[in-house]
Amino acid sequence: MIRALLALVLVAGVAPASAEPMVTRQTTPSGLEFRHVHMPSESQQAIGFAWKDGTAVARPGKEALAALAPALMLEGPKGVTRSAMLEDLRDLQAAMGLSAGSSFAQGSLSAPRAKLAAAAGILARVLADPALPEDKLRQAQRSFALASQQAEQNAEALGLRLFQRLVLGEGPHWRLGGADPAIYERIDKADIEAWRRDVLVREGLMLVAAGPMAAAEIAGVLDSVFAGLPQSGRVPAVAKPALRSSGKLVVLEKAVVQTVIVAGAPTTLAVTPDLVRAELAVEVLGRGSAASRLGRAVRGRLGATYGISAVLQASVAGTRTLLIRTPVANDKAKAALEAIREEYALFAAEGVTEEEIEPLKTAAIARHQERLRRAGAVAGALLGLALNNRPDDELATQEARIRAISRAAVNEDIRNRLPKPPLTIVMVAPSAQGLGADCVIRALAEIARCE
Amino acid sequence: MAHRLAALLVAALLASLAPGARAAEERIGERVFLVRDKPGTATHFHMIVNAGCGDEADGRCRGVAHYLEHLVLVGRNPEHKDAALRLFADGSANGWTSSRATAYLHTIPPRANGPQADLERLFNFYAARLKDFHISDEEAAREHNVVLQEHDWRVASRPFVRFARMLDRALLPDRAAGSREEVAAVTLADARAFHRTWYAVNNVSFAVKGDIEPAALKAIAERALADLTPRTLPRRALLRPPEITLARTDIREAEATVTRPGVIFLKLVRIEEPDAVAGRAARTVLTGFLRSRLPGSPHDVLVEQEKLAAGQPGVSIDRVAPNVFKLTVNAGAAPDVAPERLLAAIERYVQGLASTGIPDATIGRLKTRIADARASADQDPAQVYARLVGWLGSGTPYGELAAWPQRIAAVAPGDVERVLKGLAAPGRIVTGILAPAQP
Repeated sequence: MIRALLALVLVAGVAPASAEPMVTRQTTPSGLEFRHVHMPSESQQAIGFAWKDGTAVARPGKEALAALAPALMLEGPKGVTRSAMLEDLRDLQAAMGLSAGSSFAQGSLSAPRAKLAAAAGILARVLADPALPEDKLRQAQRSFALASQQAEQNAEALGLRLFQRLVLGEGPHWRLGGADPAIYERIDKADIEAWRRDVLVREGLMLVAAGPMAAAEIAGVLDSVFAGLPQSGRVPAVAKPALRSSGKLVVLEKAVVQTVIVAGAPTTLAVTPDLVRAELAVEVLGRGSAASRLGRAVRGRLGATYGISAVLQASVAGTRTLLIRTPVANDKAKAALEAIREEYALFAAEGVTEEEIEPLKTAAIARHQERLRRAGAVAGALLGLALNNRPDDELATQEARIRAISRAAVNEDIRNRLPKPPLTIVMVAPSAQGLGADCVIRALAEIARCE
Repeated sequence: MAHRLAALLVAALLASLAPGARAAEERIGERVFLVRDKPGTATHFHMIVNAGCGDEADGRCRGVAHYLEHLVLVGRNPEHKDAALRLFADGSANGWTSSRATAYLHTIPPRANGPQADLERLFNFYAARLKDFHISDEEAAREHNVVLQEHDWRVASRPFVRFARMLDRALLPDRAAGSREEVAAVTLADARAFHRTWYAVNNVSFAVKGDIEPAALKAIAERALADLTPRTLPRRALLRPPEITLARTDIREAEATVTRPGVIFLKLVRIEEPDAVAGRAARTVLTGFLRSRLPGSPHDVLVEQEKLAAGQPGVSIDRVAPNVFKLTVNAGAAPDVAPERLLAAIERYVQGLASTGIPDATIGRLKTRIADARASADQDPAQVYARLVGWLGSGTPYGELAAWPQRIAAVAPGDVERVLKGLAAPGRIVTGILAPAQP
């Protein structure tokens, strides 16, 4: 017996950190389905919830609903100020969030197991009986509009806005980003009430839970928050924009401390479990300012920047856009631009090497394993799977999938799925002289003539 | 005997399976600390040098320590053919520099055979770096450009950060972070001199989080550090209290890239602290209040009641030197509110702190929060490790870390009141308003 106990203690003491997560489908007593991962050794319990929601881009002129509706909901339930609510959540060591975008509305709640029910009580009241104070709406409108104007003064934010405009075109998906401060004035309380009625309903609700609570226990908590929501609503369909890339170099002349370069183009990648292959490819290009190809070229060889990155950005749900960004020294802007173009041309033509991909696979597996230790991260990943109609077992099979990735498969994605040069490039620089710009402007409002 | 052993084993089993299993750091040598983690977890490594920009010549923070941090990470040395930033192709590396410390950090994926070989490499690398570092003039010049670009990105491109630095220089002309011109004037020779002065084995700590036996880590560290000789360190300039002249400077600037006025209030005061750690505990509770939205907090008064500020006001209380503290309050003006009105309200608030005080019940509530957060963090090796690194980087004696919960529990309303009175007492004041430029 002692030998058996000793063996158990030893096994428990060295249990690997990342047993593959077992995702099960469960149903609450009120009939809500949810994805559940039981993590007995985790102290925090996390839940995630989402609805497909295209309201902000489907209703012309109402793009600011995506920002203002969740912000006003989070002012708290009737009879409680936002400050009092936030302080109660701090006492409970709880975190609560609610946001909306062009395709989804989603939220999260996490707290230590013993305090989750109390935190859930606050969330339930926020969803069922929000105060939606008019004065706070007016404050938020002013505040968002000022933040939008302030962002335009920042070269990095301005460069990104210009790039998004070139890729998305003029339309609700671009306006959703807040480039036009006037959009915030077009929302009133009735819009937000209608959004809540139409979207925050049982029908189409996606629920996930991860943490120490067993399925039956968390099911009760979920019902306490969501069971009482209206059964159905009216969610408008989302029309996806046609993403495009002109391959032009657009320069906005402005007195800036550093020149900002934003380069990229839409990809033809599908958001499937195999997306990780292309993500690894882009990591070779721009993950880490010192180690990546772009980092070595623009920081390491030129000393032109502190940081440069390349990522696949989800600017529209279900799609990915390649995005390279860096602030560089004004006197090295031309050299940095040439280096980015050369590195990308080489990358697109020759792909990546075995020596580059293998270490990144190991690093990606380590990050994945680390993520699986945290209830909040697991719940977030589960919600992402649910929103993109991806299989429940993807979390458990991801490690094997990464291990199996070959250099040839990565290079095939680079050839067939990532954009071919020339990339569309935006620069915010003191002067366009010598940069070979296709279009030069002085303000964001002039961008239409560069399309 | 067998029953007792069985009972002990059952207890050990339950403890290892319990959700509340406690993680903790172990001191396994004079300067080596371990947070044990499970197999299959990434290894984290920090070398913390107990010297930062506040230790530069005359205590003037010009950026030498920060430049040296870059040089150590990008230099090619006899022990490796590539930069330290790329010691592990599948890992990540970085560094940071504060006024008190410089840290080098690495994260390495789990290995089938454990992290011993990686840690051996890291300890050997940094043992060698404590002796010397190598970099060509060309690489040093290029990295100097990178440092300037980091300054431009973090400071010069952000109007409020640049403005706050300027106010800091007005408050503490001999200590505040350097201007771009000063950063540009730093040389490789300055960095080498700083290295010779402060990079000594008796002035560093190593922290590791990972799946390794303490004895194995101890052996690795002892082997690597064996031939390093402790050196006599100079007295730290940041221990010398700055002079506090009871004066006031008001600075107003307008800038075209600012769309909403913001105000910054700085105050340098002297507060006696017979027990530095007890003082720190009292300030931790007080800062929790000042950054909250509780009744009587800056948010409650400036945003909710007087409607003068927008968003959460920023508040910090920094220990500049023994018995000398800097209070910082910054806030954005609410729409249509003149920034002068907001600044006046902040001053009234600070002045009134001593008389209004903080209710005992609120202090109790804040202490409970801190204790709860500590208890939660104790179950997570990553949080225990982050806490350890933060503690070592702050220069507070390690021995006080374990007793911190008791220090917080011991904070009495009178301790907080003493700090409040100190902050409200006469001191050196610098205020700033950064407003949009009129078209």
